[in-house]
Amino acid sequence: MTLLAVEELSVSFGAGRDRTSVVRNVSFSIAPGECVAIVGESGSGKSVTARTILGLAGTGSHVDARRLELAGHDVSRLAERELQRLRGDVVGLISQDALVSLDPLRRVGAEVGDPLRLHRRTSARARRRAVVDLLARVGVPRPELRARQYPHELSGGLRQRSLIASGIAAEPRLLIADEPTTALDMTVQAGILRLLADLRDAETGLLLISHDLGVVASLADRVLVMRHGRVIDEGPTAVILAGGAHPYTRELVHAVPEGVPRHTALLAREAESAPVPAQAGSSSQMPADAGARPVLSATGLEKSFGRGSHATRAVDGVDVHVQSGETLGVVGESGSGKTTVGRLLLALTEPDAGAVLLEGEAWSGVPERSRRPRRRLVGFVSQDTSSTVDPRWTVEHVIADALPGGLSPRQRRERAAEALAGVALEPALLDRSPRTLSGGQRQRVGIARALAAEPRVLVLDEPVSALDATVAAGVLDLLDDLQRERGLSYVLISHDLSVIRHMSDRVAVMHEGRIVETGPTETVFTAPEHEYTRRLLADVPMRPSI
Amino acid sequence: MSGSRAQAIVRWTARTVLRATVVLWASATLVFFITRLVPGDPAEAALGGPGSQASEEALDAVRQRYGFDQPLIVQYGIAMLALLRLDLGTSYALRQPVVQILADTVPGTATLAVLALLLAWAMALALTLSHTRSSRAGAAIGDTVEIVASAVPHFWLATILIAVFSTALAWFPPVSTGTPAGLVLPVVTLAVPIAGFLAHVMRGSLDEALSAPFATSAVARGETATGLRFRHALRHAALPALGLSAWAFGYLIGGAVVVETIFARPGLGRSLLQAVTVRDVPVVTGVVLVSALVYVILTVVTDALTRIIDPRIGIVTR
Amino acid sequence: MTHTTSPAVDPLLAVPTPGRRWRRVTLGEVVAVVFAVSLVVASVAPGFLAPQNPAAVAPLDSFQPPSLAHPFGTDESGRDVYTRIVHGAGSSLLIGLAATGIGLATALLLALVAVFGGRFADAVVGRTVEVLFAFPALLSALLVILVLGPGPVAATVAVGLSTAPGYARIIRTSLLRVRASGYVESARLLGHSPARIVLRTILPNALSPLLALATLGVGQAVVWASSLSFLGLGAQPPAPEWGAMLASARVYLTTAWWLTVFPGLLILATTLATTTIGRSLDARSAGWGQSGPSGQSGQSGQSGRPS
Repeated sequence: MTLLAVEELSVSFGAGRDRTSVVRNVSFSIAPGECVAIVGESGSGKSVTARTILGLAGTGSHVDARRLELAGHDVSRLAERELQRLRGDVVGLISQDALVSLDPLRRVGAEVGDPLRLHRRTSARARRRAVVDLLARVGVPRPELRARQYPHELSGGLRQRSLIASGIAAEPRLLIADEPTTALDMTVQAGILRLLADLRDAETGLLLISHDLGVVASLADRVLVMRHGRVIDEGPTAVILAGGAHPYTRELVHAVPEGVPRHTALLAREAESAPVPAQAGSSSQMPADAGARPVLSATGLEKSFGRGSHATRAVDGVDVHVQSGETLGVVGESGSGKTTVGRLLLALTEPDAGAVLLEGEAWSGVPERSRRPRRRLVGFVSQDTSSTVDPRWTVEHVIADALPGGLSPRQRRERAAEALAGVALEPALLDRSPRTLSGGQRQRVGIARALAAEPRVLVLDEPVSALDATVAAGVLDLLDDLQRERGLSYVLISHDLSVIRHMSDRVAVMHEGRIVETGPTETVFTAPEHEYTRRLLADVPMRPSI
Repeated sequence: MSGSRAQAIVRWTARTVLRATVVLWASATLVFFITRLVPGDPAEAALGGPGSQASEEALDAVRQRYGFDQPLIVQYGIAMLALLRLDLGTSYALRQPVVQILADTVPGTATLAVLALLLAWAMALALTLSHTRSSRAGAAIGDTVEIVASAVPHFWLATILIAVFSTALAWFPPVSTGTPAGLVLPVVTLAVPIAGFLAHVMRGSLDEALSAPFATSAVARGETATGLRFRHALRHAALPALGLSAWAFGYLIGGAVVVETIFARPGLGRSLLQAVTVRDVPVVTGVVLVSALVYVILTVVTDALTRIIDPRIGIVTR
Repeated sequence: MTHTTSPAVDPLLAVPTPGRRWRRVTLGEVVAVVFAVSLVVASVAPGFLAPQNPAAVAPLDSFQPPSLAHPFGTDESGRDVYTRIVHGAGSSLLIGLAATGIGLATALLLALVAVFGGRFADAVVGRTVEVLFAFPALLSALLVILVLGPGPVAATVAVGLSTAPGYARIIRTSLLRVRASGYVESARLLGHSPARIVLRTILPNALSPLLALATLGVGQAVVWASSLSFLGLGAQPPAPEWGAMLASARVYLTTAWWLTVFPGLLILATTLATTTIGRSLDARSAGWGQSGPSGQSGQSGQSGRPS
């Protein structure tokens, strides 16, 4: 018995010459109690595929399918009114972004109860009771209170749970979960995944759309790999995660830095089927002289925001030391204070207490005037380079702005081209606006600019969090190469444990403004001492080792 | 829980009243000093201008009464104290207390403005709902209607409306009589430009709301197109338009000057224009202060309404 | 050995790139630009578009309805309305431009003092602007005229000053937004001096919406100034200024509609043209800048405060 049958589905947008094919010839089916996952990077057509099942491919779309059958209904031939009857009743959607997927002007209870209002003839009172039950079922504490509140009063995790509650309110037989855990902290994500697994076990069909192989591994029975609108690989989850049949699947799997030793290129591993043994592991490249003066060090950092009773302590007694040529990973969940530590190290904000030293000299607590000549020693790469470049400037201008003064226009252009070559970008990009580049290219431009100032230390705040896995892997490989070529020190701030583990020599785990544990990466990951670190590591979605 | 909310409301009210008082006091101060810049002897102006040939004794009496012989700061003190007693002085031209003139003219203008604002909201809603998410041509037409409506000058629109509906069709009187029919053309004249502004803002935010992720999730729950608009998007569209309403009211008072003059309708605007023409300082001051008061009150009201509709701002913050 | 990845091409995301935005020019924009150019020609060389003398009186030809000889008809003294409108464009446009210039210059000064003059200056300017907002725009213009007395210069100054608070608010917000932006932070991190950051990064970015704002403002100022003329407070009737022409035409509305319709249409067309050009400039600059198009145009609609 199949719940959903899709055969030769194609979706395109526009007409005539402007017509672009987004989904091509996709076929799959889902049985009750089965979870099928579609993985792929942005633009692969995975979300459009999911939305087409709901009849929501979008304006200007052209849908073509030999068969598109949902619980016995032919979706491609239904009128809008009939589709409305299916949506929320037979098929539920849990969309990508819980933070904006609930109407901010309506109470949570109203949003959760909507499918019941639309599809079931129930009294308002019965619906209110049902909403409270639903919220309790998805693990929302104090459901009576939460139902009366507005979305902004709930945490991200609770909002995602409420969104799931609204998706399952009318007990649909198929649930489409489009990136259900993106933007959530690790510990919250684990709970959501358990909830989805319970639903699957209760005979709900689950179509999971994700870019995160860890999430897929913990839920899916079968996996489809999509690229450029086509399914290029499919099979049981274990087979796909072992590298599948298609080279791209392998690239996708290898792009995840999970379990790949330090200084091992992620993307060059296509040839091998197993990760390179740790011959280039941590010891050989580690700066051995432990007695050396740290490049950047901070002791007793404290920083509060707000005043009076509303003050929150973002950083509460933090010590960090970055040695020459090493990477210090700072890991923590949102609100742990890791970004504030980065801003303190960059001297963008002054600590309330404690001191930062750059190459042994005072870096905090001194006038900006005395810092200015030394600013070039500390570079910064943020999560989103496009917001940190002047919107009027071309790539050349952006990089030239970081070059030392006194160069002729021609020299500036040459140096800018060299800087681009250093991050493996074509000089042809010099005249482009950074806004017209792809995400990966933009991050590389951000790195090129930071390096053009010839810094000793780079502060990298979530440098690959906004990128697709294979693109992120390329940037991580680049950062590793640059570090070895130039003897740079990195402070890598991230919420992603696998990135931190792959890139760092030492790790500092942050929680509620404090560093709860610090030490050599492998020690912290294999033998965590602090309770919080253990919990954090336990919540990483498990996947079979490759 | 509810106790802290009540406290928050009290705090918000106190802060709002204080703020409004400060704005009003500052407006009065500003107007006082601006009117002192008017050239000529104020005592002479009070007695009817240079042409009045007022005697030296009469001038002295006026100077004493208004304190024109005192230092500026003392005059300011006198004026502010008088203001606290709601004494706005006597009109130079009409020889009547300004408060009396305001009491006579405010109701007519208020009727005009309130009706115009209501009509503008209705027109804007109709325009917005008929053009959202329509075809490209429909959107272009909606856009053009909005721009034309918001750009049309009051005085020209009024003249054209008179030419068409009074002179040619004889449906409505060209001069505003006391009858409801006499109100139609002035109200329409005032409402059209405001409707253009409101519709532009509303349509923008309605389109934004309809393409927001929460709209997608509502549709995925089986919400109908109509339900989506009325249950979700319209509330989002109303917010910025509501924010514009206090400003729109001020704009209406400005428009009233033109409209009341053209339709020969007694009111605040026409009194103001006459007062400016003959430099009747007390009347000008009075009218400006009244409209500042109305603006401040409306700002408070729309702010409160926004906080009620939009739970994100809430009464507690700020 | 670094791996170059192929750019992730997303057909759904690829559509609204700034490059494409530049190419699309609507018919309305073309018409608006053509009209604006002919207005400028009429202002600089009115004889080129209307060779006749605008003051030439011909009592026998009075109150002629529109015809081939007089496309917009003639007025009470037999003067050609078309000629008078063309010759009036200069003074109407000049008043609009001068008023906008006065408004923007005042606003710029206020905003710069507020943003770069320290916390106290910001508080003073902020409060002052807030108080000025309590005066409806036409009322503050009337206050200026109360002091200066009626006349075209007074009307220009009045319109200019009464638009200043709205502009000041927008420019201040823009300056603050740019000053807090990530790219100003990057300039600081590169060790650039405050002067360099202000001159090369903050001002060019914060003031780029000004062009759109000024374009929108000119049309609104033209409407405004003509309203004041219509009320007898600006340019006086014999002058071929549009508002003044309308004021003297009011008496003849029942007998000679063309005297009212055509000058009014020209005023309307002027604002339509500037609004269209202003909005498209705004949308285009927003395509490059950080400001969302909706936020910006929403504000500009509010700022102009036409009468």
